[in-house]
Amino acid sequence: MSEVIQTPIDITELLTLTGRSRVLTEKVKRCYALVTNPKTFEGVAASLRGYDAASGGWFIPHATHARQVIQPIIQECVVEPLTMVATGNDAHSLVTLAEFADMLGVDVDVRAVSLQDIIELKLSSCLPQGDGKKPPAYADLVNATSNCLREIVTKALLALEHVGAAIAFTSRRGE
Amino acid sequence: MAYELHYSSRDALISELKRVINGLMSTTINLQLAHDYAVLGFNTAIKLMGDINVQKSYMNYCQIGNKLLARNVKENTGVDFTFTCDLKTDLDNIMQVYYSLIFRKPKTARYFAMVMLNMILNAAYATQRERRKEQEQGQNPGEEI
Repeated sequence: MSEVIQTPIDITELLTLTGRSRVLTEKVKRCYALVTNPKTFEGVAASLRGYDAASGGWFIPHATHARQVIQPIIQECVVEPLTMVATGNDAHSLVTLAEFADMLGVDVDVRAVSLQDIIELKLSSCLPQGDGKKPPAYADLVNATSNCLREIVTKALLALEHVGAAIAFTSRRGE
Repeated sequence: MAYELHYSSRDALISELKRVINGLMSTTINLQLAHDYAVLGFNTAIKLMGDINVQKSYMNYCQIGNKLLARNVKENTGVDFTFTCDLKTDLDNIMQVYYSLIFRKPKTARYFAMVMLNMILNAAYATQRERRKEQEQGQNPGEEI
């Protein structure tokens, strides 16, 4: 008879138990630290102030700039880890992507879209676009960008945790 | 077209369906596993669907309870499901709805599969009661397939 172990499991243990690579484990830890650190969002606000150090000129920040600012974090903390666990068009990968999209409130059939599409749809709905002529207010753009980034990364980590939990529970039962 | 399963085969399938539903109930976090259970559950339900006794039992259960069952489905999943009370047609529709949900709203799909498979299980359970009655009356419990 298999013994059910009732002790709590943390994310690192989950990923280790599932045989996930050290790269993924470290990535998840780093990304969790990133979205819970206020300095990350201070950095986003600073990047959106409108000064381009490369050209030495000022620009009016809008949603496109916000996307550029958060793109590296999304690449590292959402696209790369999720691609590692949802590797193809198999049912399990699609269910994981569907769960991620559903958590973000993006209503799509994941058989027809990619992970990148899901992120783009979410960004389109959570970043202020301005009204064509008038760009969004700086404070609104910073708040929306920070909230959007925090939500996308947190939900990705949650989806990863669920995948890890699934396999960890199975392995603990000795199946 | 239908067949009559031997009662031991039917009982085994009923047990398997029960196992799958228990599995679905325990997969609130693990949606990948939930999908596996749902697929296996549908396979089992398809086999049970061919049994004439299960078909009749389902029709009786559905004709009496379809409005309440539909309400139960609607309240818990938001899905408007219309029962025809023909097991083959309904199972076809159930799978169609499931596959339209699983890659869009997997949590809803899981719950929908759980409720619907449980309904088919309830119908199949009734055949066991019928068989016991027949046995008490000394009738043939069914031919083996």
